[in-house]
Amino acid sequence: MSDFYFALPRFIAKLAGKHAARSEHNALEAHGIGAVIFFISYLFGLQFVNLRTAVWQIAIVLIVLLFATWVFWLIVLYINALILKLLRALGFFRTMPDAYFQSVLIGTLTTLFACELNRGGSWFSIIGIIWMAAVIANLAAALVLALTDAESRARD
Amino acid sequence: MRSEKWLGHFAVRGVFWRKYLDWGVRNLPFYFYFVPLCFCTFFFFFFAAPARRAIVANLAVVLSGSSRAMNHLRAFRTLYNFAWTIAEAAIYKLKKAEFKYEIIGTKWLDALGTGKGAIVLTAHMGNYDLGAALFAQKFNREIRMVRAPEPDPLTAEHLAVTLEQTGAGSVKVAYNTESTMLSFDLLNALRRDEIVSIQGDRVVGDVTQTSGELFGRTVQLPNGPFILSLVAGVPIFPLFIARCGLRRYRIIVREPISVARTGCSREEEITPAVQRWCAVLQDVISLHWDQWFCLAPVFAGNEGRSPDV
Repeated sequence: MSDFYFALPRFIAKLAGKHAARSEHNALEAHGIGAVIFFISYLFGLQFVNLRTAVWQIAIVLIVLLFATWVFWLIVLYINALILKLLRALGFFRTMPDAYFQSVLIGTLTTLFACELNRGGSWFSIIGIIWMAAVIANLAAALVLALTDAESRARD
Repeated sequence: MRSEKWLGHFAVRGVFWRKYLDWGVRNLPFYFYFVPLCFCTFFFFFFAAPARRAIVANLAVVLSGSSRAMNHLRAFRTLYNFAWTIAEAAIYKLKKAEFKYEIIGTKWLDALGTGKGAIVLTAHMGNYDLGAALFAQKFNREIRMVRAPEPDPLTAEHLAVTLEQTGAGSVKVAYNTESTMLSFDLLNALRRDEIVSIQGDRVVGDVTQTSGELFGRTVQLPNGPFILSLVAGVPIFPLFIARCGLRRYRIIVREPISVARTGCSREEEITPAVQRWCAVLQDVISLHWDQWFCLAPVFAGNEGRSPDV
């Protein structure tokens, strides 16, 4: 469990004196991050739902919203894949893996949703704040890791 | 007719789902697989009703005394494992990602890898496609894999290409439809010291069968592997690939089974081997019941009643 994909846990592992290589083998990241992203987009959708109705209606809406959120991501990611295809045909991003391109979109959209949740003022805002803090900390950790790795490479 | 054919792509065994999986693996970051796989499991849990019912019926016998309601949840867990298993096979095929595996029964795996022709007898368990590819890569040996034919021709075509890509050409697929010709092909392959992999936990179609006992019930199993072993004079290696975490597998190899000529009838000659295979299969299924992807009822007449009744 010492290998991580995201910069923040790798940075924390490094601070703890452990060697943490970048890998896609961490089960917590593989299951947890996707679930959190989905949860934030679900909460974002929930803001537009009128919850002052009968309980059975709310239950139906909550289930439908679950599938609507999935369909939303499917459509967005499919359109993004088409955009990438077009950009590659025009000569851009030819060496960038598809997953990186999609990661940028997923990260940006989720952060926008988190900002919206934050503006909402309810307990949703706590989720929004936690996500934004995690994104900022991850970016900062990536920067520090890049600088320290470059420094150690220069020393070698 | 044309619209029916088009709609057929979206059927449970249609090619759409295989292509959708490939698209997801190519396009999505690894941390985004979890949610679509959960949704796909939900979808198949409700729409692949015969498969769900078969898993529930099989579990009722495997986990003796278990409740039907709990077995539905266990069926969900089995389908969820199945989703991850085929997703990880696609990840290996398309990304050539690194997979970790541990081996239980190293000496028998080495014997299989370095020996002459042999039959690998496995079950619809864990990631047998990935396992075959990893084995072919590790020992630089060619494997001939016998599979039940897919009902959808486009899915069959997609699966055949997938298996050949996953095994980098070392895994050849043969479908158990052209029965007599296939038997001769497999016999010749064994005599050329090739490895033949067969799934021996259930009978599909018109293949010749023999009776065995699993979990106290009489089951029908294919007798092909045992007859082949007898005729070709090669051992049978029980081998299973169980998923034990994200991109982590356990290769379980058990002691080889030999089918000896005794001068009795063929059925009598293979009976001890069938019994040993049933004992191994029962043991492994008991440990990994949540990865037994046998999507057809195996235990005759067990549906809808407790095995204890």
